Amino acid sequence: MLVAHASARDRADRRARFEAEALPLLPALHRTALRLTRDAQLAADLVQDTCLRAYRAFEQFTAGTNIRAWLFSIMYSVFNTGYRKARRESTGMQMAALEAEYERWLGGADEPPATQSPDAAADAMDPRVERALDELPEAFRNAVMLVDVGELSYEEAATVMNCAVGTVRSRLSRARKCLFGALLTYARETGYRRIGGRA
Amino acid sequence: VNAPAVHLGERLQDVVDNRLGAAELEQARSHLAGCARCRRELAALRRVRGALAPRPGQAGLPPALGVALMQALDREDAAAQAPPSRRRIGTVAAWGWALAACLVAAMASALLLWPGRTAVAPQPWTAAVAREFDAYRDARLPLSMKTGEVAELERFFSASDLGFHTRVFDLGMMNYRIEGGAVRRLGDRPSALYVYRGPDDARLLCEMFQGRLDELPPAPRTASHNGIDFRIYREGALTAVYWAEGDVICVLVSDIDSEAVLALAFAKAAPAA
Repeated sequence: MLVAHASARDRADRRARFEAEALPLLPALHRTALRLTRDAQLAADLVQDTCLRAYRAFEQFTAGTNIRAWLFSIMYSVFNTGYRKARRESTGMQMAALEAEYERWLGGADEPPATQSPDAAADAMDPRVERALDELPEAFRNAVMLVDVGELSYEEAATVMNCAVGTVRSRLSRARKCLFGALLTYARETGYRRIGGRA
Repeated sequence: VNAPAVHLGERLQDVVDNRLGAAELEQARSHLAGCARCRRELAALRRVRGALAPRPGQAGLPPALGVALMQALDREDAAAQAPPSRRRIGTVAAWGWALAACLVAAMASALLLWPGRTAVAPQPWTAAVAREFDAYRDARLPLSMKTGEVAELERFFSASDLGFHTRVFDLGMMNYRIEGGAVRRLGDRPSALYVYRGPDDARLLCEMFQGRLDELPPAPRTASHNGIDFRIYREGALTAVYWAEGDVICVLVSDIDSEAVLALAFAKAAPAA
């Protein structure tokens, strides 16, 4: 009876520890899952699958180490093995062209293009930013997703992407320039441009 | 204007993401003060960063997903609790099921006959609620909604699709301030849990779920007030007072004086509408 009782107590402790450590990170996981899948139901499924896999492997998680990086690593693994096909593949955006657009802006005097105010309640993002993000090559998109959307540190993102911290910084730099270049392109396409601070 | 020949380049990301120490930040600021190109680049990067970052008040985890997750974890726990023979039975070929059943029966008999090795009974709600209180007191209980507003918490539970109406008690008159709540599970049922902080840092937990009082184990003490029946349990230093409002069971739990918990329950319990 003592053995059975201890086992039940161990399970309860494990559950409590998991809830205390992992559940506060679920909103960030869910935000990132929404951006990865671009579908509310798929995002919910991805978060649930991630949590279940993490819960099953929770004994292997070393207390005191970085659970945020651990959880995001699991989510990317789950996404890559089971959800990738459900997502629209990258169209292979011309990064060089967007970086050139960015450099032209940098050398000029135009104001930055405005971004749209997202609907916070709907967890939405400026649709132009979302579209541009979606078209980034995967390695660059992941850097932005982890740091800007998931709010991971460079070190945590490096763990998830299995690369050096410097690589995270470098990818972020190029990705953010491209996203800005995409905003410039969209602004020009829609005839909206603020020059010298005036619309 | 003599613009610096070397620009900050990728180091600007560290500025945008607040990764620089005091000395490095001062160097970067010094450069930015004299470099229009880097200032312009910093503004662009901040614009992108701002468009991507979550905003204050942005929707958190959808309540339905929170409930589904708790249910999934419950299923995991239940599967882990099942005897290995039962967990593996799904993989046994059909022709072997009879043999497997015999083995299960034999194992069950052995468990019953082996002194001190009885099967683990499901945790009664009283013990489960007590664990919730312990987790809250030890700051291990995640509150998915933190608020000091009773109405906001009621809206949160209403949006959580629990299947029953959750009344959040306003205990302000008794100097208990609401701190927040969460959707939880008690056994196989979703529950609404919310917590209060009171005088002398006292903690009080309330939990509601669908059920009937007669599903509870026999109570060592009962009481009646305004036509409502109360069941009072002790779990270590904790007092748990249960009552029913229609098909919803309410429980108040605390480690304060038992009579004080009962008085709070008397004050807030209402007959079913």
